Amino acid sequence: MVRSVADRAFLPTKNLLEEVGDMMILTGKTISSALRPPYPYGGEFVSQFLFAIKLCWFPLLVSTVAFGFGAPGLQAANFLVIFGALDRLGGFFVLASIREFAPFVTAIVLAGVAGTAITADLGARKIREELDALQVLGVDPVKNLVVPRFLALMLVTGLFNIYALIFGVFGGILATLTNGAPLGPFWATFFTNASTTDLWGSVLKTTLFGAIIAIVCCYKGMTASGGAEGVGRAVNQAVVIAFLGVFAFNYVFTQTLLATHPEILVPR
Amino acid sequence: MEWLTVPREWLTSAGEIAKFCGKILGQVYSLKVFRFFGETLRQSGILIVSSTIVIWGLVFIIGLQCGTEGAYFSRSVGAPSQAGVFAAWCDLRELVPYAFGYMMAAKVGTGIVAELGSMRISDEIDALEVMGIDSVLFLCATRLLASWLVLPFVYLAAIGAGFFASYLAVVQQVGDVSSGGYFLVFWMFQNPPDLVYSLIKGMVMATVVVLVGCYYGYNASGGPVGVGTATAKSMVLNIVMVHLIGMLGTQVFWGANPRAPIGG
Amino acid sequence: MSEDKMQADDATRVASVVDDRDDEFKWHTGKQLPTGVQDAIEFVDVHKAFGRNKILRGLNMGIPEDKISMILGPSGTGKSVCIKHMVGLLYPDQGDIIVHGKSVPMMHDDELFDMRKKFGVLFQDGALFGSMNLLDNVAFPLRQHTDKGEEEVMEIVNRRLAEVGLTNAGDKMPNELSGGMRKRAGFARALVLDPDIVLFDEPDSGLDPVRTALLCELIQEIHEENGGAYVVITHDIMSARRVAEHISVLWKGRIVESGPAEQLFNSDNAFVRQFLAGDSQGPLGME
Repeated sequence: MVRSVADRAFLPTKNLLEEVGDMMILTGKTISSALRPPYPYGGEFVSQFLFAIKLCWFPLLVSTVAFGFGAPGLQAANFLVIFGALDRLGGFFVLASIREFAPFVTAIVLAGVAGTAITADLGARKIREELDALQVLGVDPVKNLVVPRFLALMLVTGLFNIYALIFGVFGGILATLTNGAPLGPFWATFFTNASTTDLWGSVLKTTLFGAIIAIVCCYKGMTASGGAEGVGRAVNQAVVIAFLGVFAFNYVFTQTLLATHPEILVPR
Repeated sequence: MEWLTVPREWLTSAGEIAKFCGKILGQVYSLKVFRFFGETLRQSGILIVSSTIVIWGLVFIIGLQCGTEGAYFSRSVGAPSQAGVFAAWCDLRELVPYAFGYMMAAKVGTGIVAELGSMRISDEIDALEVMGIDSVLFLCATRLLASWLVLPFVYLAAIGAGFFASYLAVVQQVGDVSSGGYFLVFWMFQNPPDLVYSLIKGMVMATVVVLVGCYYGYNASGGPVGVGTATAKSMVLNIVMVHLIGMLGTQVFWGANPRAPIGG
Repeated sequence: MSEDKMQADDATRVASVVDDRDDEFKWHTGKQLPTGVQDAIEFVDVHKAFGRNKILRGLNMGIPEDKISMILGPSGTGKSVCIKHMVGLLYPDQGDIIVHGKSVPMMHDDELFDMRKKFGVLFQDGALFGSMNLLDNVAFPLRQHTDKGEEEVMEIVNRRLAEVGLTNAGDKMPNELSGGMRKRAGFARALVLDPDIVLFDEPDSGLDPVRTALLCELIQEIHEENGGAYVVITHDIMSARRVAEHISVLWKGRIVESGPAEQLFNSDNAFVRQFLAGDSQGPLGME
């Protein structure tokens, strides 16, 4: 009885830890085989890069404008109108869009759209035994499949962050105009508050988000089990783990950035 | 007219999804679904056991984030004691619904697609039909009703988790404002209608996620690979829908009226 | 290869396709040898296409009452599509399906669900519900459609499970069973409402020859006990020889020939002879 209760509580935890460990190992393998010659993954890298852009540009456009207009735009404008300081909305958008929401929405969309597609694709190859066939043919699946996806997703997420940032700020402009305020003060406070630290922090952060998403989704795809539910279940787990991983990492990163670069907090 | 084919396909599938969802909603609304109330309760149980913890977890992390940013932003506009306003609005009005919607889409939505999709391709849905059971009613309507029974409570508890996390971040971690001062502002800037609006936002997201999941799962084809593809596709639609609902909710509930206790 | 020659090649290829189309149905005599009993299910000039892919092309077929009928045919000729039409899971683009004198495509939903209670269907992999154990799976139709008490339900379920030889496996989950056991459990579930018509979708797929023989024997035994029209879809000639009392040979969405089993095995139609002998020489090629 006690034994079975303990099993019920600990087995899932143990499995989870094992999986996290396996993902770490995959990360290590991916990085080392990305760096070591030969480099056969160029073509696949380009096609994955274009594939991710093709899938994500539209959902990301809708999501960032909607998010930027609603959450930081309307609500923060309401907040600032109370203090009679709507011109500060620009400054707020530095904090909101660059530091938080652009990376965050980019990560959600990339994990939900490109990540799930990667898991579904690799899962399909796994259960069609293509991965086994590759290994039999002497081709390393990590080097030829995981590495290009890993690099492509990192690059795409970093670039899309800037794209998301632009459209997020566009949402903010919409919100300012909705409130009937001129745009001049918005830009003024935006540029006085914007710092390069914020920008590189944001891009670095999203690049690492891309790495997390790629590893989680590749891992889940490559370990998809057979059976009718296998691939679907793999996608399900991949996206849940990717979300949790991205947000936990985001929290740690923001804390570290704020602690090590206190100057970005100084109001201007 | 080659360039028109893609939008036309979107329109066709949007129409199909709407028709399917209308059928499910009709079955719940006409109370037909109570024929399978046992199955509904079973689905509710599954929802509670498998999904609540992750939803609360994500909301908690986001609550921490809201608190941190709120504390620093209020400090930068020279009103550190007003961090509670930021936290109250950020949590209740925006990020808790979003976090809830994201996790619903990720955990529950794709879960439904995987489950129903595998039932479809292993002929279990056809088996239900030939046993003379309305499979949409048995599989989809029960899931929708189960989510309506359970999720309001999950959502309210999630708000609690978000509030707690923001409190930790603002008062315990950054500490510009005392606990009492924080709560004074925090509770002043929200009232029961805000909570109801937030709940409505969350529930609309949940309903859409469940319906989209049912559609993609029920209509999956092409073996296990097809189920995987359907799961991935459902996630795309869900993410866009969650963001649109979030924006529309904000616009409708708070757009014209900030519902703040001071000022104009 | 020069351009001219390529064009010439294309031309001959097109010509040969056209020729084939003219000949496509030359083996389809559509002969329906008399069976001496009434038909339980009738297909009347049924057409069905998925997109551009035409599956059924003017199918006329009768399934006799109270016999084990087999629908035989090469893979991809629309055998499973046939089954789905019988129970109203698919609707024909054109034509009619008549079950016990009533047209299936014309029924509205409630009638259709009622009609389906007359059917028992054994799906390819059993289609057991993954979330329930065997007992609950087999009891499911009884609990949904009858007012029987729990004791009575369990008695019927146990009897049916015993019939298919799964007496002690009642509390197992479907994924703990072998393919053959899943099929037998699916069989028990199909029988539990005492159906008038039982449909089998490739009962031999994925089973070894011995298990296939055992399953065929089981089908025969249970048919002797319960009667009713049994329809078996397969491309396996061995099981056809064992259990079939009536055979319909389906190819390219039409019946080639149908009739009592002994007569078909002695048919002089070249396609039927080739298919029933499993010969590589004859009208049917790889295509």
